[in-house]
Amino acid sequence: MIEGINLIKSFETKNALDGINIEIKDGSVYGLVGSNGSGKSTLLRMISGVYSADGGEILVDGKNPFNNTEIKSQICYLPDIPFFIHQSNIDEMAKYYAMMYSTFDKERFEFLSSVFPLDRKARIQTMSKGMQRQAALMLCLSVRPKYLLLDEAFDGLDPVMRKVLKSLLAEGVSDGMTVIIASHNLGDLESLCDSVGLLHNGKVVFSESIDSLKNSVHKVQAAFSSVPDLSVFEKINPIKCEKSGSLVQLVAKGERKEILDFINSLLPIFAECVTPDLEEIFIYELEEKGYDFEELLK
Amino acid sequence: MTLKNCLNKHNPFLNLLGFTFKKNLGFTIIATIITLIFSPGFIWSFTKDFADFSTTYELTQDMSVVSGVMAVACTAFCILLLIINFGYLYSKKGTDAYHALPLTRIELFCARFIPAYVSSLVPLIAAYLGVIALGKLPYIDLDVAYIIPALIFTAFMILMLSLFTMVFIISAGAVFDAVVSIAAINIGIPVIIIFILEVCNNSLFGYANSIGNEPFIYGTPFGFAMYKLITYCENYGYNEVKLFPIVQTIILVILTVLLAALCLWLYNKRKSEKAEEAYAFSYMPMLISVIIGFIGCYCLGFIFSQGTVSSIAFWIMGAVGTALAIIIYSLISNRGFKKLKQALWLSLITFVLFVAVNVGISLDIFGYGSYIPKVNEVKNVNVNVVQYASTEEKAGIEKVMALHSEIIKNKDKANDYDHYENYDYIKIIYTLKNGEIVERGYSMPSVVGKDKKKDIIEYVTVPFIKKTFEEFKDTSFVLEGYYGENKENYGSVRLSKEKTSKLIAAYCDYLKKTDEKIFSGWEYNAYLYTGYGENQYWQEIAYNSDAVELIKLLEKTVNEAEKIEESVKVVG
Repeated sequence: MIEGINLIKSFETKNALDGINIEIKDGSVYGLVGSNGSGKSTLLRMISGVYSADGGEILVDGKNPFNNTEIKSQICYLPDIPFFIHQSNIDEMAKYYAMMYSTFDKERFEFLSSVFPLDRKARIQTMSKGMQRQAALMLCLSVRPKYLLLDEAFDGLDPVMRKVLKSLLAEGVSDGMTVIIASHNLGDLESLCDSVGLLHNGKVVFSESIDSLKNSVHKVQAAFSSVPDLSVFEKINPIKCEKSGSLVQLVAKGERKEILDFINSLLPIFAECVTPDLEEIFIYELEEKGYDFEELLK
Repeated sequence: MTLKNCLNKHNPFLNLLGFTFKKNLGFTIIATIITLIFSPGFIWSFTKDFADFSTTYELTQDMSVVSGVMAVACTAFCILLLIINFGYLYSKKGTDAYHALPLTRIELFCARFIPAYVSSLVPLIAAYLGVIALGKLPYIDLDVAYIIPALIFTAFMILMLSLFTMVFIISAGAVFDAVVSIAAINIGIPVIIIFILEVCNNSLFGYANSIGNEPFIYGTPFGFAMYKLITYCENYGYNEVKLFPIVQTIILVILTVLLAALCLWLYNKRKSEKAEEAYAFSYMPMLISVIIGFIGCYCLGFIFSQGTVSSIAFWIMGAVGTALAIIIYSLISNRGFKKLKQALWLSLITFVLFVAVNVGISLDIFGYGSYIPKVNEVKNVNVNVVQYASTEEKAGIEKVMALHSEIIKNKDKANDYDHYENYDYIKIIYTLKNGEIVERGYSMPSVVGKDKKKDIIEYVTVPFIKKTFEEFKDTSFVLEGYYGENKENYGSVRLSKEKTSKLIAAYCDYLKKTDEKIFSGWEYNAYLYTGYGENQYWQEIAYNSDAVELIKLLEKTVNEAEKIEESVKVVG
C-alpha cells in the first residue's frame, strides 16, 4: 500500500505538494489527474524515491522509498519523458533493466516484443515519440514490478496501442501489480482505474473509487407537461438543475432509487436516470466544491 | 554472507558497476593507445640514437617529465569520464531514471565513480610499464625502485583530484556550470592570492615575500599535488631522494578521505529536482560569485589606478568591476537576468568583503608592519647589512632587533626621496623556536640606524664571516672578480689557505672601520669561493675605493698568485 501523509514538496518558494494525504491500495489502478503543475509528476517521483519529502511522509509498504533499495526494487517508474542509455537499442535496454531489477521477466519481454511492433535492434533515439513510449512500456512491464508508476502513459500512443496497453495493465493488476497513472485524459482512465485522485495546486481535491463516484452521482432527464418550479427539486439537493422547455435535467447525489421515486412523484411524462461519464462526474464534483473544471484541467 | 552467495545474489550495484566499466571501456582503450604512443613510443624514438653510441641514456633523471605528463593526462581523462558518468545529474530524465533505480545514493555514486577512476589508471599503468620495458634496453639506465613510488603517488593524486572535481560536478546542475565552477576555484583563488599579495607588497611596511608560483601551488589542490609529484621526481633524478614520498602520500590520503566524505555527503543531499538548473546547492553560485567579483574588482581597480590601492580610482573601478563580473556571471549561469537582484546583492556583499580585506591590509590591522618577535622566541636571525649574516647569539639577535626597531620608528622616511638620496635594502629573517619564519625587507635611507648597522657588522656580520670561513680554512679558495685599472677584465685566481685567511681578516677589518657609504652600495666587489654545488662556500667582498688596505692586499695577493700560477689574472 502507498500512503502519503501530510506530504510536502517545495520547489524554491512554491509548494508543488502542499500537505497532501493519499492512500493507494495494493492491486488497484489509481489515476492521478490534474492540470499542468498540479503535482502529479512530483507525487510519482516521491513514490519512486527520486525526490525526498520536505515535510510529512510517503510510505510504500510502510517504508520511505527514498534511498531504500528494498522498496525501490519493487517500483518501476516510467517518467513522462522516458530515459534510454545513449545509442542503445531495445535489447540493450532490456539487459540493463534485467541487471537492475531481479524481477525482470525475459519471457514476458519476449511476449511483449510480439505485442509491440518495434525493431529491437534499432537505436531507440531514432524512433518516434510513440515508439519510444512503447519501448519504455515494454521494458517496465517486463520488470513485473509490484508498483508501476506511469506518467502520461498514453501520451503519443495510437488508439490501438492504448487499448493494448490497457489490457496489459489489467493483466498485470490481475497478477497483483498496483498501477498509478498520471494523465490529463479522463477518458483513458475511466475504463482502467479503480480509483482516481484529482490534484490541484499541490492539494488533493478529492480521491475516491470510480465505482463510488459513479454510484453517488446520477443524471436525470425528465419531461413534464407542466414543468414544476425548479425550487421543488431542492428536496433532493441537486448539484445541477436546468430547464429547457418541458425538459428538466438535473444531477444529484444520493440513492438512485430515491431520486427516481422523487421525480416520478412529480408525475413526469417521461423520466430516466443515466450514469454520467467520469468527465461529467468530475465537472459536477468540482463545481460542487467551487472549482472551475475547465481551469483545473487546462 | 559468503562472497559466493553475494555474487550469486542479484546485485544491482555490482551490475551497474560492471555496466559502467563496460561503457568506459572504449575511452579507456583509446586513452591507453594514445598513452602508449607517448610512453614508451615517443620516449623510445627519442632515446634510440643512444644505441649507436657507447653511452647510456639516464631515463631516471627525465622521469619527472614522464610522470608529470602522465599525471596531467590521466587526471584529465578521469575528469572527462566523471563528467560522462555523472552527466545524468544534469538532465531531469537522467536523474529520474538513475535515482529511481534500486540503489542507494552512495551505491550509485560508487558505481559511477569507481569505473572512471580505475579506467584512468589503465593508461597510467600502461605508460609506466612501457617505461619499465624501456629500462631493460642496454643503452637506457632506469632505476625501477623509483618507478613504483611515483606510480603509487600519481594514483593517489588522481584519486584526490577526481574527488575534488566531483565536489563541483555534484554541486552543479549543468555541465557548463560544473566547468565554470572548477575553473573559477582552481584559477580564481590563485589569482586572488596574487592580487592580495600585490596589495600586501604595496601596503604592508616591511612585506618581503616575492610573488612567485606559490599561489598556483598552494592555492589549488591540482597545483599542490602536481608540484609535489614533480619535486619528488626531480629530486630523485638528482639522486637526493630515494625514499617513497610518505609524508606527501599521507597528506594525499587524508585529503582523499575528507573529500570522499564530502562528496558522499553532498551526493546524498543533492536534490534530484535541481537537474538542469545552474547549481544544485546555493552555496556554489555564491562562492563563485565572490571569487569572480574579487577578480573583477582587482582587475578593473588595478588597471584604472595603475596598481595604487590608495587611489580613489581603484575603489570606484573596483566597485564597477565587482558588479560587472557578478552580473555577467549571473547572466551566464541563469541564462538571463532572472536573478539580477540577487546578483546586485552579491555584488554589494562582495565589494564590502573586498573593502574589508583591502582596508584591513592597508591599515595593517594585524600589526604586521610593527611586529618584532621577542628575543627569547627567536632561534636565529638572518640579516643583510652589506653582507648576509646569520646568528643564534642572543647579543647578535638583540642588535638586529635594535636595528629593526629603528627602522620601524623611521617608517615615514621609507619613501622620502625628497630628503634622502641613498637608500639600502635590509632584509631580516627570524626563525622562531616554534618553526615559524618572520621575514621582513626594508628599503630605507642609508643613514637610518647607521650606528645599529655598524653594531650588526661588528657583532653579527664579521663573526659570521669568520666563523663560516673557519669551517673551510683547510681548503683552497678561488678569488674571482673584475681587475685592471678600469676594471675592464674579469678573471679568477687560486689562493693558498694562508692568503685566503689574510684576505678575510683584511675584509673584516675594512667592514668594521668603513663609514655608512658602504650601506647604500659599493663600487667594487670580488668573490671568494670554494667547493661545488651544495657544498660550495661563497663569500662576496664588497668594498669602496676607501678600502686602501684591502685593495693593496688584493693586488698583492693576485700578483703573487700570478707569479706562481702564471695563468690567472687580477681581481679589481
